[in-house]
Amino acid sequence: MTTHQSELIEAARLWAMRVADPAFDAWDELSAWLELSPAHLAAYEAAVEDDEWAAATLAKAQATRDDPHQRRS
Amino acid sequence: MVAQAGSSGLHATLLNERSRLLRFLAARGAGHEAEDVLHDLWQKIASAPERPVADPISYLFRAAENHMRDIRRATSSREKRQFDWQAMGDAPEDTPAGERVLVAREQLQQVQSALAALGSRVDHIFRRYRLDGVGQADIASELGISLSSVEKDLQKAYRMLAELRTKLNTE
Repeated sequence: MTTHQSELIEAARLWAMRVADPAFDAWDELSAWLELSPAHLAAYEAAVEDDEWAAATLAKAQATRDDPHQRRS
Repeated sequence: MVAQAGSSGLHATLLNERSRLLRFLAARGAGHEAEDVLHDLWQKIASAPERPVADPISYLFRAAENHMRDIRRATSSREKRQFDWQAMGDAPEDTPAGERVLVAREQLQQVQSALAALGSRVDHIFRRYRLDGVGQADIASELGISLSSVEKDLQKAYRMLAELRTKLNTE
């Protein structure tokens, strides 16, 4: 992987992470970053998928724990 | 800012912020269809049950982000169905339910141990942020640490989980 690619992945991940904050309000900055290159949108969407996957995976554990009928010994 | 109740307040905000929202939607993947997407988004918002909105501008941008995520999910599951259909010749129709449960349980264990390996503070901060929906600034004050410490811990978790997902997908 080139340095450029890994920097892009890192930057996209940072955006996905910041957007997950309920207080996020840098929407114009995000627009500007996405406009720089079509590769930015693709990287951002991949980062969003990673984030949602991790959150959904952990949320399932919490749902199982909260519901006594689902509990396994 | 005083909360504006109902969709009329939101609609006024939408008109005021229209160009910013269109710019965002276009950059976020709607491209030349940004106007149509904004129209659909407004239909969705207007048909939802009314509730007080503390910050209408944030609310609309958040709704726009979520709308683009919904569109993307719908598109990728349609493409996946089409792909499965084409590949169906000799492939089993679907993964057996028992196997899916096993995979999900194994992934959960991997996520839990990846987070635990980063230390209890990173683990706690990530769960607070992504499961409880608490913002970075609030987490920082809860723990009495700086905002940049929270952000650095979250970055560690995000990086680790992305690597884990890549690993699981290529196994």
